[in-house]
Amino acid sequence: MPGLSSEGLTGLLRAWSEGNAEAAERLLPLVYGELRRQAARYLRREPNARTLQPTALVHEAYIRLANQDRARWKDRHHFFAIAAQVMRRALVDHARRRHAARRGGSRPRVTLAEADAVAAPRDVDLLDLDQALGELARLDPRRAAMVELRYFGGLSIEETARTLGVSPRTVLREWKLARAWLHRRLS
Amino acid sequence: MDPDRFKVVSRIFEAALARRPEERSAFVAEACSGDLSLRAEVEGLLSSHHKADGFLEEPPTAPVGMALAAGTRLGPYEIVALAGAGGMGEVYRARDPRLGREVAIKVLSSAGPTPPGALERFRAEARAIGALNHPNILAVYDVGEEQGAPYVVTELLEGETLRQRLRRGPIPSHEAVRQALQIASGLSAAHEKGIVHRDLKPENLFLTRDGSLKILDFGLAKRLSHVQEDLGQEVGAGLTRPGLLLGTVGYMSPEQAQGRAADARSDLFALGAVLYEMLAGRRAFTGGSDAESLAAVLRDDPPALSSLRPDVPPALDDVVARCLCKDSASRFATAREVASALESLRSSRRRSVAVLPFRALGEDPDAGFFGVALADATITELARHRTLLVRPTSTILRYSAERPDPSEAARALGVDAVVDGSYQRTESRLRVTVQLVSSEGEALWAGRVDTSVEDILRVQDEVARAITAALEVEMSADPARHSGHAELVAGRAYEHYLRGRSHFLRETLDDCIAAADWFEKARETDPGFALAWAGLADAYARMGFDFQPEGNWYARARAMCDRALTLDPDLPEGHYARARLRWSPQGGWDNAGALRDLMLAVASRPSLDDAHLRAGVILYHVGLIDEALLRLRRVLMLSPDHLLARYHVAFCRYHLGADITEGLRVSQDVAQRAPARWITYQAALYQVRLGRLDEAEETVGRMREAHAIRALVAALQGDAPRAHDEIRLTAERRKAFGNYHHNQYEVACALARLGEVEPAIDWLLAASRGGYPCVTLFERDPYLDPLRGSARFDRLIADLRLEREGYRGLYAGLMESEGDGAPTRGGP
Repeated sequence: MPGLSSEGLTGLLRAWSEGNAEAAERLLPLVYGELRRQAARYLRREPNARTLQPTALVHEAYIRLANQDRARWKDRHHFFAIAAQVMRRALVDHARRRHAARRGGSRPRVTLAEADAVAAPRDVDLLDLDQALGELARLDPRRAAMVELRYFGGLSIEETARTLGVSPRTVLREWKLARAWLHRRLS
Repeated sequence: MDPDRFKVVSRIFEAALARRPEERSAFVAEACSGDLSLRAEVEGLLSSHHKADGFLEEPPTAPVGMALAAGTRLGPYEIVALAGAGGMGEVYRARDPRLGREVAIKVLSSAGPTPPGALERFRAEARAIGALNHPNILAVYDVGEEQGAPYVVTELLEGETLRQRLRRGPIPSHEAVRQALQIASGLSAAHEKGIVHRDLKPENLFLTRDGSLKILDFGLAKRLSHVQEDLGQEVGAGLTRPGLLLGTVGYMSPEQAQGRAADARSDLFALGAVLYEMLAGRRAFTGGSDAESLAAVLRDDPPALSSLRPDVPPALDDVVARCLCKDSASRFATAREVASALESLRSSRRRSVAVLPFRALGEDPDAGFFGVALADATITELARHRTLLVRPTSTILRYSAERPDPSEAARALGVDAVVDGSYQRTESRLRVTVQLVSSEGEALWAGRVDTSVEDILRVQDEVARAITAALEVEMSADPARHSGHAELVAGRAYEHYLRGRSHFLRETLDDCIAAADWFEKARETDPGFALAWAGLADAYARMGFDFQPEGNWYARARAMCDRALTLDPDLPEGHYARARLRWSPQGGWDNAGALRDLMLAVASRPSLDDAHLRAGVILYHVGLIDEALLRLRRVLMLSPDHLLARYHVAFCRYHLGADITEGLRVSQDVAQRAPARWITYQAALYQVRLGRLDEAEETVGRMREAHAIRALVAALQGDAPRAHDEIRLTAERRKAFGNYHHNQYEVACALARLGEVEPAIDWLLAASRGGYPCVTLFERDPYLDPLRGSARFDRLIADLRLEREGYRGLYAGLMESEGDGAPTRGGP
């Protein structure tokens, strides 16, 4: 079917899981758009909501894209990994813009709900976290990925484990140091 | 630090955590063996670990959007307050100083990276609705841009969205139709201009304070002709197709859900979903997640409105169902067609009225009876008018003790108006004062009738005539003549009859006996009073069927019934009584004859709810479940709270293998209100079917009519000897129960479960000859599975299917002669 792209979601996910970096580049905008639409959808459904959580977004975005492409569920972990990355980027970008805005002009800002839907955290400085996570990735890529999946992607322990191809117990154990390390870096 | 060092740190950290807190420090000191910086690192992390409780555990959440402050100017407009936020932006209440009026402003910002197409979509919205000028579509005044932030200025609405209204519960059906009509009308105007809404839902429909409806948010609207062009640009990079992603799950049509292009008929689907929700008080398509809701849209038909709202007219149910067809080609072709279907529903809607028990002014020792009796008489009179829907007496009994506010009662009873009357009785005179009050509290008519006590008939005549005139009910060309109580009836006889009726409406044994006494008196006073004879027949039949099966009630009832019909061959009450007698053990379970009588009764008296109910009961006994449900729905249309009708609806659904917890609940309700053995039996049967065997045994206790239930329980528990004991007792006590065919069926099930095929078939045969040839149940009941494949069983099923088709044909013929509106007497 037309739509997506010639390879479709499944094709891109597979290519990406086989190490095709270009596939990731093509996946990112696709996933980004979908997440944003999910956020908008969520806001239409809950017009009074003032906050938004990524978990539902990521899952619903997948379901939508997957339905479109008849992707199989086993591919979803690759998708989660991408979605978590996208979410991280979106959140961090947003935080950056907010910083800029705080320093910048006095003009009343009117923000685009769709863009803001994927937005800043409450008590974590996302810019610092992003930077610390970058360092962690250099020291221990798996732990960094774990944080990305769990925190930005909103994945459960089991989903994180499956996405990374490890046991949930490993996630539970390794998560502790990742968290302590980031906490220490951020305080 | 490098990755190798990090590995060491993590190993020691994790090993320390695996130890008890008091041992950790010593462990770390030892593990780091003098490497102080390593030790400091690990200790630091351990300390962070304790402080990090909850850190990063919660996913990031964010405030959404930022509101404009009051007083901010946007172009010429001045922001007053934030009114709401939607998917495409925020809505403000604002002032236009030039015209001094308040407006609504929807703002979209270009701050930050605007998603490709969002701006364009915003302008499209403005252009699209700007091009429309319709009372049911939000009016657009202006489009502007302020520092890169485009906005749309629209009329400011006061009221609430349909979503907000729905939170308070479903909407009365005539009101829902009125709203749906406005939606259809607005859509029709948009569609004719080539604009499809694509995201119709309760959030986008606004109910203004003055009762009109506005369609909001044509944000997703596209000019049909441009859809193709827009495909590429809208979401950028050709990554996805807009049809799939626009719309709201639960309202979007199957074609949208599948990513195919939306057209005008997609809006009609959404309209159907919205109308469904207004009537049902629940969404047509739901699921735990969007994906499940999406699947429901593609795959499921929502539960029939009739099962949720029995008072929804079948024609309205049909309109909704047609909107909700999965295949857009099967839907209405245009919004205009929907509008005209709704319009005709509205104009064909019968005015409805309820008569409250009349109040006694001054002392009246008979107040309780006389007030209800006068109401009952007025109801009977009013019910002769087919274009008027009159609530039967059973629905107004609850008002006999307490005086309700008339307009509140009208709303509670779901009628357009109530008759609120009072009377004063002296030795010889009767003065009746009546007013007709609309559900809005408006007095439509008031009047007074003075007459002699003997002349109650005149009262009801005059009152009824005035009321029908006030309600502008079309009079039948040939008003059905007075049934049974011709003008010659002596006033006293009629009064006795009314007293009897007031007892008969309460369904206890004592009241049944008292009713029979009064009917006897009426008959003695005026032997030519057909209604009195019919009342007696009915009372005696009830005695035999419900209370004393051993007594000689049937023979007496039959004599009374014959007399009534000799006096007045068209008397609906007489036909009803005869049907009761036919559909009984003594009457040989004459299904066809009983149905014929009942349809005669409802043809001349459509408000005779007992007759509709009894017809429904017979229909499902002969396997015509759908027909039965429709017939029972007629009862619920007349009396929405009719508990017995609800009970039978649930029992019908049991025959279809549907969820039976509702059946159990209703049975228990009925049992509480009017304890009767058969209802206890029924409750136990549901419990058995739910696998709650112990509870079932507890429910029936030592009830002598319930050996069949015990037999079934024993069989299900594999206790063959006990099952056989109970079956023997069932057979011995057969006379003890009016509806013995249900016992026979339960025994057949028990034997089937015990693997005794031939005896099981014998009992099944007996049940079907004893008034329960319900092949629709036999075909699917898993309890009978051990019988399937037996040649004799298959033959029985085949025979019963033929029989069922016979009944179906018969009933279809009877329905034709019942007609629908025009009075028909002696049809084919």
